[in-house]
Amino acid sequence: MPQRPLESLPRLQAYRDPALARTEAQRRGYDILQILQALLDIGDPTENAPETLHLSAHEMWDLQQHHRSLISHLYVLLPILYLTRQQEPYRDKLGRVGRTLFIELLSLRSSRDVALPDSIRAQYFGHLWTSPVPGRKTNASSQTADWADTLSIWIHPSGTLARNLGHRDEQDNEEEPGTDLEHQALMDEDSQRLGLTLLSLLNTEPKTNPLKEDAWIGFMLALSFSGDLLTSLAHAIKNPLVDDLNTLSLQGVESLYKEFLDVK
Amino acid sequence: MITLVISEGLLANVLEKTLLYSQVQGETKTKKADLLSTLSLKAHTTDARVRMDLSRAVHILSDGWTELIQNLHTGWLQEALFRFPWIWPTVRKARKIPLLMARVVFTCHTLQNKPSNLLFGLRAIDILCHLCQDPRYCSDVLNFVLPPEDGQQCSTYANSPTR
Repeated sequence: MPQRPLESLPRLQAYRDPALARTEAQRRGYDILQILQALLDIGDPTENAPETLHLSAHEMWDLQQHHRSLISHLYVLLPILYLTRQQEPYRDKLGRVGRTLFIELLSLRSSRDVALPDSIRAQYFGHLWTSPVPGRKTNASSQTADWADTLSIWIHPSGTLARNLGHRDEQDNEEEPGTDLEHQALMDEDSQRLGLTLLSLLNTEPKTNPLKEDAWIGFMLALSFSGDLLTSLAHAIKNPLVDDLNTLSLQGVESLYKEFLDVK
Repeated sequence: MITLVISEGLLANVLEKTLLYSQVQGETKTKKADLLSTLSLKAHTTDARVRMDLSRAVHILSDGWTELIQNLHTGWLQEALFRFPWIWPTVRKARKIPLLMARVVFTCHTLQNKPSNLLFGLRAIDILCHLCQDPRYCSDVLNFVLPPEDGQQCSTYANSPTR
């Protein structure tokens, strides 16, 4: 768990509502909002931001460790919480804030000169299927299925899966009177862009992902076995919500099905 | 799962977009199309939807005759004709033989400048030789190579039952 008590973060008070935070799912929804908020507060410790220049090497190391710890919890919690109806009233905010921040985190690189994300992303994704979550009985395959569903919804936010799981309905109901379809379209474009970006981030080469091994390949193969993800990706390729997503959607194909080439 | 990927139309969609971007935006990236094309060779073609999608792919690629698309398709076709005998009529309908002949001619003209073209030219020749095992396709090849009267004569001979 993160070293710092997250309850002490002041900006989280806006989300606190004891009357609503009763179920475990709701409590975890609140937890993840805390994590998101902490990440927003910390920023990217791998960048040489002016506000971190005064820190000692040890303090910087602590900050980076904390940052990685937060990521390690975020990647496990986000798709699971995002998918269940039970974490309401936090889910909508999780979806909107979480996915944006999550992609930013996964895009981290050790310096601006490096073309590809550094090993932090590979490290945490590399352990995605093996990291135990205290108190939760989930195995790797079901976690991967959650990820596949999450990606499906992000990439095709108005698709069948998104509707079946209540995402589109929830958003529709939440829209205030006067909010036009243009706003919804922008939200969908943003969702598809982030989903395709996440998929392209999974396309790691061995040189950028030294941890690529059987488990990683198994994870990617499990993702590629998702019919919902296939449907969403095929739809995004044929009908991209924004023109500049054309190339990104094709990159998703490479990420998702590259491992098939080695399957006998 | 590979069969599902192909049968859901992903291959055709990716090929169409790859061609579109190469024509409209000048993009020359065929890696994703190449990946799916290669995977399609592993698909179970007993599924009618897979056959339909592969046939569609043949027709789509016939429309994109840039050098990169040629190379992509020539490599795939070489394998596909051996693996999927049912695709031969589609190849004929898509008028592939003239395109393959054009590929050979292109290789001859650019051989000195681009040695790598030799490989794809040889592949095209290999495909044509393979098609020539069937008299009907052999006729098509001969009719394209020879003057009309000679081609007709050879076709008659090739289709002769006493041959």
